[in-house]
Amino acid sequence: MTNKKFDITEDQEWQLFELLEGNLSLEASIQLLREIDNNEALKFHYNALKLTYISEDQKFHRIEFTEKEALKRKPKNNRVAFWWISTAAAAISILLIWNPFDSFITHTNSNNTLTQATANPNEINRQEKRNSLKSNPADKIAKSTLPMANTAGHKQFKQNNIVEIATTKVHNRPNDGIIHPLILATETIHPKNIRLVVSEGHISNIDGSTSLAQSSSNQANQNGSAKPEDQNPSIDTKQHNGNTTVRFVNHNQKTKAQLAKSFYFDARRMIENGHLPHVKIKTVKNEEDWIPEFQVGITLENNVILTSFNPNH
Amino acid sequence: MTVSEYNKCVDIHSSAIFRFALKQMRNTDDAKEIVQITFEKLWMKYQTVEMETAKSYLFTTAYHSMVDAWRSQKPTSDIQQLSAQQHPTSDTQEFTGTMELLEKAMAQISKIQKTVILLRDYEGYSYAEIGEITGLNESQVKVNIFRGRQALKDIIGDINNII
Repeated sequence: MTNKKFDITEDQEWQLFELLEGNLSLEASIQLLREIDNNEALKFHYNALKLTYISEDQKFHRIEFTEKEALKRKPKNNRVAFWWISTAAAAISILLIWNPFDSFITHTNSNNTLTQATANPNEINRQEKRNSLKSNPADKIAKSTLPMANTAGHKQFKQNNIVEIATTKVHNRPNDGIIHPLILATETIHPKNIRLVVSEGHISNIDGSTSLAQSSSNQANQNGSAKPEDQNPSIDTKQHNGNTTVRFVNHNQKTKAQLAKSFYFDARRMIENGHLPHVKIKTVKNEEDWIPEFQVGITLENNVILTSFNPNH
Repeated sequence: MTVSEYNKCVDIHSSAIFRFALKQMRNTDDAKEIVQITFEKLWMKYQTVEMETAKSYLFTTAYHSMVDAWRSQKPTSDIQQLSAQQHPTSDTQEFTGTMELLEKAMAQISKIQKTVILLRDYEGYSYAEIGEITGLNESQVKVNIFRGRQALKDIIGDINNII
C-alpha cells in the first residue's frame, strides 16, 4: 500500500493477518477488533487484507472435470489373469522338467533304450524291487535287505546311461501308476517339514543333501519309523494308497533359491524314475482386484504331492 | 486402496484437482494434463496409498507435476502468461469485480505463494497439511501465505478502485 496516511507497522499487519486467519483467541480477537474500529489506518488495512481471501465462489466451484470416465480403471479379470498365469507357469514348469536335449537323445535312442535298460543289472534290481514293493511298500521298506541303490552308484548310472533318463521308460515302464518313489520336498507352506524319499528301501531327502542308507531302514524296521542320523527331528511315517511318507521336523527352512532348485531337481528325478508329472496350480491368496497369489505344484499320478513352489514368496 | 476406491477417488477429487490446476496453469488443456498425470501416478501406487490420504497425495502430486511443468516451460511462456492474464480462459472469464481483480493479482505473485493461498482458501488445508504437500514446514507456509496476501494487497492497490 502506498498511502502514507494509512501506514502501519509490520507487527500490526501480522496481527491483522492472524486475526483473519483465525489464529487469535476469542479475547484477543475482540480486543483487536475494537482497536481496528478506533484506528482508521488499521481499518483500512484490515479491509484491504480481507479482500485477499478468496471467497467461496459458486461459479468456480461449479467447474467440473468432464473426463472422469477416461481416468477410471476397470478391475482386472481375475479368472482370465489367473488362467493366463497358470498356463504360463505350467509351460515354464514343463520346460524346466522336460529338457529338450534329453528328450531328443531319448527319442533318437528309443530303440536301444529297452535293450540297454534290460541289460543293465541295476535296472533289473530296480524293477524287481518295484514289483516287490508293490505288494506292501511299508513292509518292504522295513524288511529291505535287497542291495541298496547307493547314491554314488545311482549318480553313475544316470551319468553313463543317458537312455535311462527315460522319457521312453515313462511310456513303457511296468506297473504303471502303482509304485512311486515318494519324492516329497520341503515347501514354504510347510516350512518345518522335510518329506523324505522312500524308494526301493532307500530313503533320501528330496534335494539329495541327505541320503540315508540301510541303517536308517533298519532303524525304521525296529521303530516303525525312519530317523535320519544327522538331525534330531520328530518322525512321522504315514501310509496312504500304498505309499509311505516319512516326515521329520527340520529347523532349517530353505531359501527361495533352494526351493526353486529343489523344485527343478525333484521334477527331473521323478521323470528319471519313470513317473508322469502333473503340474497343478492352485490359488493361495485371492485378492479382490489383483492377480491371485498362486502355487505351482507337481504331483505323482495318484495326486501325491511331489513338490510345490510359490513364486510369490 | 482397491480399484473401486481408486475410481471413487476419481469421482470425488478429480474436479478439485482440475480447479486447483486450472488456477495455477491458467489453461484448460494444461490443467487437464496435470489431472491425468496426477491420477496416472496414483494408479501406479494405488495399492500403497490409503483412501484416507488419497486427497493429500493427489494434491501433492498435482503440485509437483505443476512445478515440473513450470520448470519445463519454454522462455516464451512469460509472454503466453502475460497474454493469459490479459485474456483469461473461458473458465475464468466470468469473474467480475473483486474476483477478477484478485485473479489478476494472483497471477502476479510467486507460484509458491499462490499455491499455499489456493490450498488454504479453496481446500481449507491447515498449515501442516499444506506443508506436506509443498514440502515446506509450517512456519514457512505461514510466512508464504502472509507474504502472498501482502503482495496481493499491494497489487490490488488503491482500495478506492475496488470500493
